Amino acid sequence: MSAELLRITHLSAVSRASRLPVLRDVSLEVGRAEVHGLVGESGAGKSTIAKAVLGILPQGISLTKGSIALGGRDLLALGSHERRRLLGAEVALIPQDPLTALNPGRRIEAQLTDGLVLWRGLSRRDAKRRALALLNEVQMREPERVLRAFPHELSGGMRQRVLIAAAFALEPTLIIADEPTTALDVTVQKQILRLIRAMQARHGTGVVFVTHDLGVVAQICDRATLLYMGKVMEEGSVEELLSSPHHPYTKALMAACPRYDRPGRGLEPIPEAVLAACRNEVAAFDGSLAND
Amino acid sequence: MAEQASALGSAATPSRRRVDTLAALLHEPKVIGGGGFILFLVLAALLAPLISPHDPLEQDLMSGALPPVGFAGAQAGFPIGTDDLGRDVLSRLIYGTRVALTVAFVAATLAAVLGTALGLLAGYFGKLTDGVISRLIEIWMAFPPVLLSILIVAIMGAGVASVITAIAIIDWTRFARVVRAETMAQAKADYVTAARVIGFSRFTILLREILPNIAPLLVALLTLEMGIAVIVEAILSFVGLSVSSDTPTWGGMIAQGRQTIYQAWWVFAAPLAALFATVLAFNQLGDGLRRALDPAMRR
Amino acid sequence: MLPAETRLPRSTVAWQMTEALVEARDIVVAYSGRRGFLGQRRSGKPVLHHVDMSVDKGETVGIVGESGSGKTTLGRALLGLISPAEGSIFFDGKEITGLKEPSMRKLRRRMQMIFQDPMSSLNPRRRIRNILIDPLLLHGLCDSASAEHSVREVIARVGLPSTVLDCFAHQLSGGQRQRIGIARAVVLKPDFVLADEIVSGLDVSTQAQVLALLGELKREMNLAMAFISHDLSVVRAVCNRVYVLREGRVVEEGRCDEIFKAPRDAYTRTLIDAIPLPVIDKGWLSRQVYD
Repeated sequence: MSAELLRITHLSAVSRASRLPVLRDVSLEVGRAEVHGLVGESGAGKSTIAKAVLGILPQGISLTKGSIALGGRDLLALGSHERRRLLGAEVALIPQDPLTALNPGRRIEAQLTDGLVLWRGLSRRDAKRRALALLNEVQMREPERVLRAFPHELSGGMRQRVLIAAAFALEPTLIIADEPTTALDVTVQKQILRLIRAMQARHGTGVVFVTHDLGVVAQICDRATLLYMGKVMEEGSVEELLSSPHHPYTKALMAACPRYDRPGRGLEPIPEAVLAACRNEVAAFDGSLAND
Repeated sequence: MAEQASALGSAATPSRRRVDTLAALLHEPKVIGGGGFILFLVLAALLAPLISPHDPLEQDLMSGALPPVGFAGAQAGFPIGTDDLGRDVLSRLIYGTRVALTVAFVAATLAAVLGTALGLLAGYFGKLTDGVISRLIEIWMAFPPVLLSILIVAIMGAGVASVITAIAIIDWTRFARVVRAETMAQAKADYVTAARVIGFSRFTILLREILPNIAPLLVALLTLEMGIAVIVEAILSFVGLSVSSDTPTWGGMIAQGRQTIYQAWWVFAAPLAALFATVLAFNQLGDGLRRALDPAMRR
Repeated sequence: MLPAETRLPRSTVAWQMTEALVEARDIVVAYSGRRGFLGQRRSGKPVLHHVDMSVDKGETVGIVGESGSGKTTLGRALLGLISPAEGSIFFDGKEITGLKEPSMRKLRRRMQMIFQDPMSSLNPRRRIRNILIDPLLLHGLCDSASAEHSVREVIARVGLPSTVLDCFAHQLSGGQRQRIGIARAVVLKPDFVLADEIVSGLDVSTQAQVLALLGELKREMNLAMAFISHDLSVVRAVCNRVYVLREGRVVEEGRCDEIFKAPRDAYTRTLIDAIPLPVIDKGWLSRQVYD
């Protein structure tokens, strides 16, 4: 049994339509009970990596190189049936938009118990009991009523709690959280972040936390990987990244964040020189690929 | 990826939008298929006197009830045979396209204009205007369409004009409902609010911001309506309420053919097949137009 | 940002005439309830309860709140897009509540808006050039000959190449579209601009660029601005004063510096505390600011 929970090695992907690389030789490791941030701006490739792990890449993107090892087993080498079984048992997703992730036509109880019945073979009654316990764990008020409700009857924060409950229901070893708080109010976001951290600590789950918000990374992640145009710019523990960043892109990104605690600082546009350097780095990498 | 890719320095290249759309249209198979067939029918209707082998009204009792070519007893001059009065089925079919297409184009367009105008007003101005128009639509749709069309034709007398009027008066509600819903959705769009903020009058907004964005939907609806109009005309001429019995119409041919269906099935089948093909072509054209016009916008 | 203005605290200014450019007095906005048989509107749930706010010439005022706070509604009421059920809106001393569109038209030139989602605020079927020229022609600010020149000027001012004029909205990136939105708002050289969550959907780097551009334009044109946002951090950097809204009421109002140093209202404290900063703060997650 390997030390890391998830190890991605030299993962590369291209977009079929534009023939441009979408991921450039991405490598990262996530430990057993670690919260690992996948940070980057839009288009950096962080969502693509998450989808690659879950096996739900869109049609137009194909992986060209690399491996994704979950608990030592290479997901990409498995047959699709094997892969689905492994993923279903070990990995769960907390999606970005709680509204579209829940079936509007089915009650919450059904959506929470589906996985339990299917993958754990519980009876409907046992599954319902477990669902109630989960809703209590995510601090949902009136869990009985919530079970009977339809998604549109709940607020955004409540829906996200339901999805977190659903994610932890099968006791996965790895959870992919794809920008789970982006659509929420900032006060609700804090509650949800606190909840995710608490449940992750309690169950010992590893989390890959996709986000564009450096503030969220600072508060909830142990380690993080920063991406730009599908390439890893910097990675390390969150403490290192924040206090002594190496890469100019990391420094510039931090300087661009708004800082209410430092009036006069923050909101600095990324200097064109830094962006040019990043683009050169990417171009050089593409060039070295062509030479291989 | 779009954000960072365009940061690579290539400014957006403007495309000639109209050429883009035209190209998209011509590549859509349903547009080519459906549109091509309709075009073929239009040509047939226009060139009817030139391409018909015989005069559609000419009776020749000696050549009555001849089967189509390929069956025993056929004659070369009558490719799809003749009816029991000796009139050439093919020629009557060709001349029948004139009535069918005239009704299709004119009636559908009138229904579209009337329905769209009312739908736009109801959807955009809301409140009382919408209330009145919506109730009008609901009441109007409660009338049985067949009875209403018979009534209109009875009042106006048989003829193409009455058929067109009947279809337009009955079917405008179909346009109005869809256009109203679409307008209401569009009216919530930020670019409509932006136009208000700039100070454009409500009519200008309706015509310049909303109508162009409803156009693809309208085009699709229009072609569908044409298919419906063809069928309605056929029904009305089937019951003898359309043009005078001399002018060949597909519905009239079906009515006559029904009486001799065992002896001369082709008199019944040929116009039926023509009707089927035409409506199918209109539907395909409409579907293809809708597909081609919308994604071109979103690309 | 403009130097501090000395203003009396609101409580000592009763119903005096103010030099405020835009002002809302005691407005109540309710959304429609049930409709009558012929579609008449009947009043429903209130969205804004007795809100007072004002923006002086050249001032940037923030309107902050979470979803359901009514901030968007307040912005639209200030522009006369929504009629309040009670209270009045003033622009440059003149009451605009309930004014009919023809009378509003002249005033509209002086009050413009930048939207949150530039994709949905640019007509997908019109070229950028037309989107920018139309307002100029409507208000008679130039004829068709000089319109092209004015439009090129404003495009260059927002940092875009003139090739975008021939494009349609869907051909541009999000950042470019937002610059077009800004260009459209300032092309009429207004006195007041409402910025409705204009950086909410943008990357941190694009957000910084857009706000820098906005700051420059504001200084150059001496614009008064109302900046709606859910992000207090951004508001602090951009605004002089701020109103904090919660469920349709103003719970706190004052200069940005004071509010951040010493927030009086518990909800404001919760809002500020909830912002995750990119610094290590061990106690942040577990810290609760009770409301």
